[in-house]
Amino acid sequence: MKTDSTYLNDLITRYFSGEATSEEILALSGLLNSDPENQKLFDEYKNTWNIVEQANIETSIDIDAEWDKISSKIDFTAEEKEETKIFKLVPDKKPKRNFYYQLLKIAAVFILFAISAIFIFNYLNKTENKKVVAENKSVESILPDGSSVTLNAGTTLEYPDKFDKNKRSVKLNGEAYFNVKHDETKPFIISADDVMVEVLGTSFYVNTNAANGMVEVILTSGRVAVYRKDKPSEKVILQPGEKAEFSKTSQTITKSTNEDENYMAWKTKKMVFNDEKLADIIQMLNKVYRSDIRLKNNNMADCRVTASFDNQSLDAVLNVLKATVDLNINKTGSSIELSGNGCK
Amino acid sequence: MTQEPENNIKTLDKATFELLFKSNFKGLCYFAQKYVKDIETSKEIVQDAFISLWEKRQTIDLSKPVKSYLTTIIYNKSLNYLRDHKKFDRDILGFENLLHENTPDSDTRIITAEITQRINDALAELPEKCREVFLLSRHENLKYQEIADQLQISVKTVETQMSKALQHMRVRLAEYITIILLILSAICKN
Repeated sequence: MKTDSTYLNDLITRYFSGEATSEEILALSGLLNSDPENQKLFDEYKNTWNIVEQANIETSIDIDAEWDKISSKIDFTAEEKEETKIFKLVPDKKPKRNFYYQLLKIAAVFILFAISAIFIFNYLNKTENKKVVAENKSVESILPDGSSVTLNAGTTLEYPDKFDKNKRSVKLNGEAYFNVKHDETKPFIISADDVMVEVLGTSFYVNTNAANGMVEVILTSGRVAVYRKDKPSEKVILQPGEKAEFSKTSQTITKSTNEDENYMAWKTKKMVFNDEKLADIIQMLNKVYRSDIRLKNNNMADCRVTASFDNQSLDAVLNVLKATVDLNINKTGSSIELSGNGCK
Repeated sequence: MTQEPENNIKTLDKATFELLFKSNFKGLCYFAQKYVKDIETSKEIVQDAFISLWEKRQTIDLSKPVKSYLTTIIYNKSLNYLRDHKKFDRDILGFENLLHENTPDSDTRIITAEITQRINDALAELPEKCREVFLLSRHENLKYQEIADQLQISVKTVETQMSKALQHMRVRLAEYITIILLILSAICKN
């Protein structure tokens, strides 16, 4: 199927033409690592690209011009002059003074060395706090222990450039998906508002800005413990597929099974809608694509749609919706207005 | 690869240097280009490498092939370029088989008149806008944003056209790719 690999094709093309950003390069290597089919496609493109570039180099490089260019930078006429070394055979006149002078020079060198060593030692041992900020698009980051974290837009993560000996602590404000490297000797602890999330080695989602003033944790795989900062002994343990919600108003943590299949949509752009109301779908799209879609009249709001999307562009998604419930799409500036005749 | 006589030289005088330069420049640009993905930058890197060779001609060991001295410098400069521009990714370089500096076919090129003709034919088959975008990128060395500005289209359109062009080239050159890879592996088994 061609359509599902448009994203990959574009990414690979951007990479070979030198346009890919460092995040895109990271995303590409992730995709290549995850599927040998992707690797095969990448190789085919690489070979094509190499041939095209070879031909390009062959025809576009003017060897004589390049030689002229390099000749202008090199002085070919300078002859290496044989250096004649003159040895002084006359003994030094003031041996005593010279001896102390030598000693002083050596001492000075040692002192300079010691001072710079101290500075370097301090510099190397300074643990700086690093901060990753995702402004208006997702950012993926690798932490000092190899764990990876993807931040949704508008999220900040703080972490030290070297983790402590007995724990790995980070601080989160916003929405992120973590993939933590297993290490029994060093629990991974996230400070998310008033709540701590403690992990051993697992993949999970944390949102400090969830609806209704909640801090939300959803576990994909592994084991996680969620507890209040001031009550570390009252731990709520999550199993995969479970969700913990901490209410800032009631100061309690509640555990439930995660019903929302689309909690990772912002990262994967994979959404499944089962008989969902169009109004809710639009809300999800605006979140995932950071768009401004509005319904012109309320008669469409309750139309039910069943559809699934796997990493499609917003236009592709809107086209599917348009065909499903007979919509008119009107783009004005940066906002998109949907209208229609209601559902039967 | 059989070693060309100029690779084991006794002294590096201007005449030898010029010969080395003119016969290896394009191949070495191809080598650098695999890393930096930009022909202008690869030319600069190769020029710098040759300058370094000339400046150090008294001190380097001429019993070893001069080409490997050059490829080492170019390899290091290319990786530094990637790091400076935040495009260095060990994984990707691994996938491209670029992590070793002196792979035998590193600068080997196989371009025949027939392949060039085939590439031109494939380009001619592209829709006009598509071809225009592709040529501006590859022959004029323009970035996507520059192409977008020049043709008054969006960057997204440039991206789509580039993908389309490359996809077409991939399909049309597929058989040549197999042949070239076979030839390369035969050459390098020596």
